[in-house]
Amino acid sequence: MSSVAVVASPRAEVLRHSARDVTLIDLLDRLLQGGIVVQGDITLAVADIDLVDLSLRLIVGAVDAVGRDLRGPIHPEGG
Amino acid sequence: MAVSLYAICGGEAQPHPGIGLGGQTLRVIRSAGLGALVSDNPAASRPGLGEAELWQHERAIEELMAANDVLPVRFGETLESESAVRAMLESRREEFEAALRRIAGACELSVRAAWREDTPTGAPQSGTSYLAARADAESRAEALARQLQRRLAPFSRASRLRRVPQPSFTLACAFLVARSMVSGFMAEVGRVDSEVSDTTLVCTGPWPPYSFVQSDRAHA
Repeated sequence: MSSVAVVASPRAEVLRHSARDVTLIDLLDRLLQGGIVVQGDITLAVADIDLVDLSLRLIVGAVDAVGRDLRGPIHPEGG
Repeated sequence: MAVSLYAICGGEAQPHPGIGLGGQTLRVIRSAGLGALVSDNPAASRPGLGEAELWQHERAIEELMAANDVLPVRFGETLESESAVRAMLESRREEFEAALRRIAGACELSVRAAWREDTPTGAPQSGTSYLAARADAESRAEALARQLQRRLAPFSRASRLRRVPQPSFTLACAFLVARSMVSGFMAEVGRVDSEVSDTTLVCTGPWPPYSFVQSDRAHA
């Protein structure tokens, strides 16, 4: 996928396993809150909002867990 | 027949031969010197809100963006007919032309910042320490936001920064970056990342300029 080139960080490895999840958060953010709005009355059904909210929580949870797992061996002064 | 909308573009844009939501062929409807990337939506239904559908919408826009400036349309927008699309292009022509000029030759890059150490979101010892920790986090986030804006301004045309409530990220930023500046921008993100010890920066993109096409925020 062309658009998901990820992470310009020398510490990219820290988040590599979650890069796909970060990309998905950015995707959700943009497609559902950004962009040209054509019909002012478009609203997502409550069930849909719950779904987005739920998937965001799952994704964020996954990112958080990965960050914690990998936090141990990473020391700024050692890297 | 109803159509699903993906993007607004210049009237000369040629669509990549691809498919959109529901396996429908993508095409461009033209009017007023503009184009709208659409696909048929026979049931006039809202697409399911799954990851596959979101990526299908995104991919349709990216394929057009490969060779054209595009204004991405929010996911799930449907109009009842081709003539409704033409009428929309005509009635909002000036707004779309201005937005196309603003984003010409540029794309959007996302930068998210996450604290590297444990954030004080888990059970605080006391209300006072919780408030102190939160105030500290606020001021650090503000300082980081200023630093990011200052360092990345030379590589970008515009930016939007906001605090995010999720525990993992503290800042979500969008930058409008000329395509020729993308690698320089990413390299600078990497330099800032290596200089701030308490934060990890994650950059994704290039994205269509979702955060820079809405007229009410045009010059913010």
